[in-house]
Amino acid sequence: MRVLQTGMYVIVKMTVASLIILECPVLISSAYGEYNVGESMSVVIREARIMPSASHWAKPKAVLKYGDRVVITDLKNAPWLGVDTSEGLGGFLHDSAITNRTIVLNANADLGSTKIESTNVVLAGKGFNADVEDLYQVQEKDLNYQIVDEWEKRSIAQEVLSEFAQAGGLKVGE
Amino acid sequence: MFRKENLQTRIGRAPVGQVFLYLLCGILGTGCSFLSTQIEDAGNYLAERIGLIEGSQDYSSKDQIENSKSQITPEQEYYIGRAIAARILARFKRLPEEKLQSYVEKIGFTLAASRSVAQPFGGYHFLVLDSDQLNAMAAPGGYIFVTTGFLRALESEDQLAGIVAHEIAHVTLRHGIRTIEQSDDYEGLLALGLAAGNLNCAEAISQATVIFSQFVDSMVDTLLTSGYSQQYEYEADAKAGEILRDTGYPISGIVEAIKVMAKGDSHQSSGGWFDTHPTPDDRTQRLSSTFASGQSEPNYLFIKFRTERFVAKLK
Repeated sequence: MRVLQTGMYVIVKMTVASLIILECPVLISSAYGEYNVGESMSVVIREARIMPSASHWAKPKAVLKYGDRVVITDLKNAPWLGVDTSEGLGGFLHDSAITNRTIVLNANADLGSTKIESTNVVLAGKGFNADVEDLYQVQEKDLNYQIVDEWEKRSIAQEVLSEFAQAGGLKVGE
Repeated sequence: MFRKENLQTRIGRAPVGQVFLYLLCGILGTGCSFLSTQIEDAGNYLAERIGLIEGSQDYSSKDQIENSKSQITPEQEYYIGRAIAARILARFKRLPEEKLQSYVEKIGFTLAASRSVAQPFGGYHFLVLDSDQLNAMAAPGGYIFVTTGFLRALESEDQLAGIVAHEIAHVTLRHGIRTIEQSDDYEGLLALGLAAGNLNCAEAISQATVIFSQFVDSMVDTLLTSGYSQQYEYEADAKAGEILRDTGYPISGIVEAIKVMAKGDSHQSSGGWFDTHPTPDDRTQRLSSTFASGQSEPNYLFIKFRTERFVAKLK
């Protein structure tokens, strides 16, 4: 009798667990951290690549700019998020590339009837920006921004990087 | 400026400090070509839309500052990072030789392509410094440095990957910016920023540059002298382990690198790699136990290949 009760208990627990796992994909995937499917987000980095899969190792489908908007369509591959662009192009973005705050590129832009809360707005190019950097360079005459500028332009072609990684037995495309 | 009693009802919904920082940002960001009244109108328009401005009021409450906790954006972090990089490059020479520089970049970009790595505003940048000092450091915004002294002390590509992954982890976890925001000066500087909201364009930029300079000084001191907190070093080690695992480098790389550094000459070193706290033994034990399972079997042929190409590049 006790064996039967234990067995029934285990079966019930497994059934409940299965139901939770099966029924909850929508719940689990509809909210990752602070994001939800259907939520509109802004690109928060200079250039964000829309990838065909949840990986940096592919040719991007498109490159979005700072302030561009996307809508989240999928959270299953977090931290990569399935998104749709404003042109209807679907793909994946790393969640560090986007924010649920609205990027306002022009402080004088008409905000229309959109309800804006202070926590939801980022004024692009404000605060520490190129003007501040210019003044800082004037004040700190021994700084070497030229090397920083040249350094930022350096890049390695994707195929060269893939070859390097594969030759070393490293994971490409994961 | 606000009266304290009008704002207390709004603290939970809209921290005042954030609004004023946006006002400051609005005033600074539209460029000096705008008349100051237009800039102020833009800031006031925003603040009025969220219901925090009712005419001209005085703001003097420290509570409002404490409740603001506004976050430095990735774009602002980028400019801070550039300034720190420029300061470091004023102090150290970059390695002119392309072979080693390109090799370190390939390892860095391979690691930065890991799914666990956050992307900074302007992307990652890896630079080898021509210095006998044993140091590796990461400035906010993705600027990562490794000295030739450090490279010569390491024994394999896997160890180098461990070091670079650790520095990428500091950027991904925004330890630099978190350090700034947790500093004793941060609230005072924020208040300075709030006061600058009442200045005209050139004065506002000048005031922002003062704050900017303070942040940069603080971070350069952290990177070159004091190092990050013990907690941040643990966090970076753990994140580095994830990055290495995702990329296919063995965890043993960073474990061995920490041990190699522990034997190094601390007089030639600076920053977190040689601080006694946390201790190297503690760090290696944590790493080994955290990543004890889930690792694939090491492929010794590839390990040998990677080590040989490391040695070839350092010649």
